[in-house]
Amino acid sequence: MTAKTLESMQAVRKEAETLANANRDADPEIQDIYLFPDDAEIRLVEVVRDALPTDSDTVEPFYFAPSPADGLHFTSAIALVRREDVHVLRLPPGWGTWGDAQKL
Amino acid sequence: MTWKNAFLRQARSDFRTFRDLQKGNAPLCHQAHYVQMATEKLAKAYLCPPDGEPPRPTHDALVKFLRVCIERPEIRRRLGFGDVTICRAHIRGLLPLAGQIQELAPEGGALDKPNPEYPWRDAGSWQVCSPLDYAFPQFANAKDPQIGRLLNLVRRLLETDL
Repeated sequence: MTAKTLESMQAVRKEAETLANANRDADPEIQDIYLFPDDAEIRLVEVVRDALPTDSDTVEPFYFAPSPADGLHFTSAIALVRREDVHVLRLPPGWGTWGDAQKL
Repeated sequence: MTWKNAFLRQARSDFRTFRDLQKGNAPLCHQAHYVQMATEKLAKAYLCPPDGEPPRPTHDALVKFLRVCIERPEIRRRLGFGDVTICRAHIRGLLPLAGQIQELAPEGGALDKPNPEYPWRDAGSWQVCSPLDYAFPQFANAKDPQIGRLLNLVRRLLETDL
């Protein structure tokens, strides 16, 4: 991993932490938030008390464009899952494994 | 054009067609069909990664999408919600109706439930029904403020750039 990549990953993580805190404030049903590290995209899987079951075997995030006016300089990918989906659902290509997830 | 932009473009066109049908007092099934398609494509636009592949075929995206929108500061701002609590209450209050619209999509070609597109066989009476004769309670009561609120929310989300 290059120094530039590491720096980018740290920037993404910092913004992800801010976003995760804001999301917790916005939605009291959030129980846990997992970050899947990346150097260009915020990748969050949020465990939500009232998340709907999925008919897919894969985490399906919604992708939101950067919004610098709101302090979001990276694309955000956010998926809401149930507790029982964690470590069970497959991850989108390039997201790594559940073992790579960092709890925020 | 990316898949993401193509889905949004088609969703906007579907919604404009719904408005045209509404103005022309077209049968409710056709209005409902276009609302269902517009909302599904709106949600699927956000399921597309930037410059990525289209999402898998599914009709169950709208409610999940609206649920995530509560968390997005740029969407709250563009919708005019200064207070996240009010935004949450507003969108959450519309989720049951959004679920009913999502459910309008015929699943897997099974002609066994009311939908705005294909005839179906009623499970109780065993009669074959046409969408043209169905009341579509989600849309029939024009005085119900919930449908107006949901359509307004969809319209504003469609105006949002990805």
